[in-house]
Amino acid sequence: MIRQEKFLPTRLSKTRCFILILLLIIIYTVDNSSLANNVDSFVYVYVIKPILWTGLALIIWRFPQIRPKGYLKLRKTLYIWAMNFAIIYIIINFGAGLINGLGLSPYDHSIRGILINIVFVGSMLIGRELARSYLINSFTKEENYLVFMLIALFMTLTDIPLSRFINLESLKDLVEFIAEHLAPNFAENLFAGYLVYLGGPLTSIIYFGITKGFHWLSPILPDLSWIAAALVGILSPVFFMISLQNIYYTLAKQIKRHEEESTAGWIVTSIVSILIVWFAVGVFPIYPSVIATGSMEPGIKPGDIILVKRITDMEGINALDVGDIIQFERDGVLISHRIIEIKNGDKEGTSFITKGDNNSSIDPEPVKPANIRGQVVKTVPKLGWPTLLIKSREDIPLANIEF
Amino acid sequence: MKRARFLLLALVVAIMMMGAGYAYWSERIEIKNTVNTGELDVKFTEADVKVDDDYEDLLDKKEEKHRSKGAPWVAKAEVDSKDNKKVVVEVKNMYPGARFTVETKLKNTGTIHAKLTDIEFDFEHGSKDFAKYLILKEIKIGDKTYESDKAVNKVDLSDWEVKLLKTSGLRTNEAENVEGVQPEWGWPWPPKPDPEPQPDPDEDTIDIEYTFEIDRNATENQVKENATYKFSLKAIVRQLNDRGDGRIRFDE
Repeated sequence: MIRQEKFLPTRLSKTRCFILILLLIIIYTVDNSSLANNVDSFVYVYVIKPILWTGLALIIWRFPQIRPKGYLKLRKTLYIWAMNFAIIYIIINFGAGLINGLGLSPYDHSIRGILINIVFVGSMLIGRELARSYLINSFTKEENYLVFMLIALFMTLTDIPLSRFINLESLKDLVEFIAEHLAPNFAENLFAGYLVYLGGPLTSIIYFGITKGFHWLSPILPDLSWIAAALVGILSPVFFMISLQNIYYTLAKQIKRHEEESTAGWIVTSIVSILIVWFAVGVFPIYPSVIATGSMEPGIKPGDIILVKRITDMEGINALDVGDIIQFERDGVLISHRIIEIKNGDKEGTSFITKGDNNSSIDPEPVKPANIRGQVVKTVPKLGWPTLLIKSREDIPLANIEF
Repeated sequence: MKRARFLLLALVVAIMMMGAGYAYWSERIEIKNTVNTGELDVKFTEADVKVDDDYEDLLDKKEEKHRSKGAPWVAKAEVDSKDNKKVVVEVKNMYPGARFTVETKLKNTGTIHAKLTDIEFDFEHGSKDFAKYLILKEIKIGDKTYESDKAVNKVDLSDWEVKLLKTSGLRTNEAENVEGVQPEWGWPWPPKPDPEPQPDPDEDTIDIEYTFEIDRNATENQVKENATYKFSLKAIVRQLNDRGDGRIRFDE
């Protein structure tokens, strides 16, 4: 095999790389500074920015080309796979939307709107992907994850507006932001970096062109909770990347085929284990809880696991009936007792009188809606014993629950 | 490849922990208990009309003539059966200078404090002209007296001092700003108030008395002696802290 570097007509030019990085930083700064506010916003977003990105694309075009590192003969295959992964991504996202929620697209779908958006998004896309390809292929000849990650990080940071970072106030905001925006963006850029490493800028242009095209053109879009967006947004590009690796090296005859199957196994295992942990922790509307006391015997014994359907709004509260078993919080403990009576005070609102089936008398304090966690829908016997063995007796104030 | 597996594991664990955070923060969603908003309601509990016996300042011969005829004049007032915010007054055999006083008791039957901001007079068809000759001499609300000397159709009560109608028992935001009931603070200062004073049922009701007089200069055509005139008074109340500009304040 001919070693590529001897025949590379272009030397790695650090200068050109740094000019490129600088230009990207300049565009980002202009975008996020008050300069953007001095010009009419329509003109800025839809005229000036496309001009900037097109200019950047032309500059890179004029640079002496740096070749991607994948085999030329596999280039077409890579284009096809870029398209495949884009379509799979759309399907996964839409599937998540079918479970978690769909919404109407807020984007302009008139002919004029679509054309303007194509110019706006397209110019930025082409400029960025040309830059990405130039940088990745300049900085590494082999699969260098450090380079991939650094450039992915750089592309991520120049993709997210500064205001998003500044507006973070609490830990919750930070975690949500990382989960919903930063990490998925980074994963996507990582995958895109790998695409251009193998097949040049057109691969990522195809991938993003299709995914972004769907995002801007579809009348219905998935409306995911931040955790769902995190799951889909982070895992999809990562799995694509792993899969692409396998596919490419199998085609390049550098690895044997059986590795492909174990990859699928890993992917499935990851997703399933995440979902199991999420269920146990209480991400989903139905969550498990271990029963520690005998206040609800004989129906629910200590060591049983109850499945609780979370109640989050007044509609759920109003749907509760006498005889339902609810889980509520009192003095820091979760108690699951049966509703004996519903009181509807005009001035105080609704409150519930509860009693454990096995208790001799009703619970001393009525339960307010704000303390109710959910309604018990199913009992799984005995599964909770390991948890009870771990928890010490002192953690459970029996006096409040069993009497 | 091994490194990739390790990174994947780290990623999976990170995502699991995100889920833990999500579950934790979801638990903190509060259910806003929909408390029934307070009810603003008042009603007249009693209505009566008393004829004015004081004829000492009536020196008008016209009036003497009428008195000598011996025709008794009759007035009655009662709370409207269909709308207990209204009192219907009926008068007969009116003559210029005649006086009568409508006595009413207005009670706050809602769950929030109210203030009386206006009295609406409504004259039945056929009695519409009567408004021009029925003079409102004074209104006594509780222990305050407002004097007027205008015919009812020209009376403007909008610059009254409003009268508070308290509601016994209920503690609401508004209640905290009413004299005698202090809001409870968590700080040691200002000092905690005395325990809530026992509600006074009479506080819910105020007495309103209207003294009317027929215009002494009215002619027989304008005020017909044999005619029956009917009109109603309606109490207009607002929430205590409603200043009429749409904004509710809690600093009264």
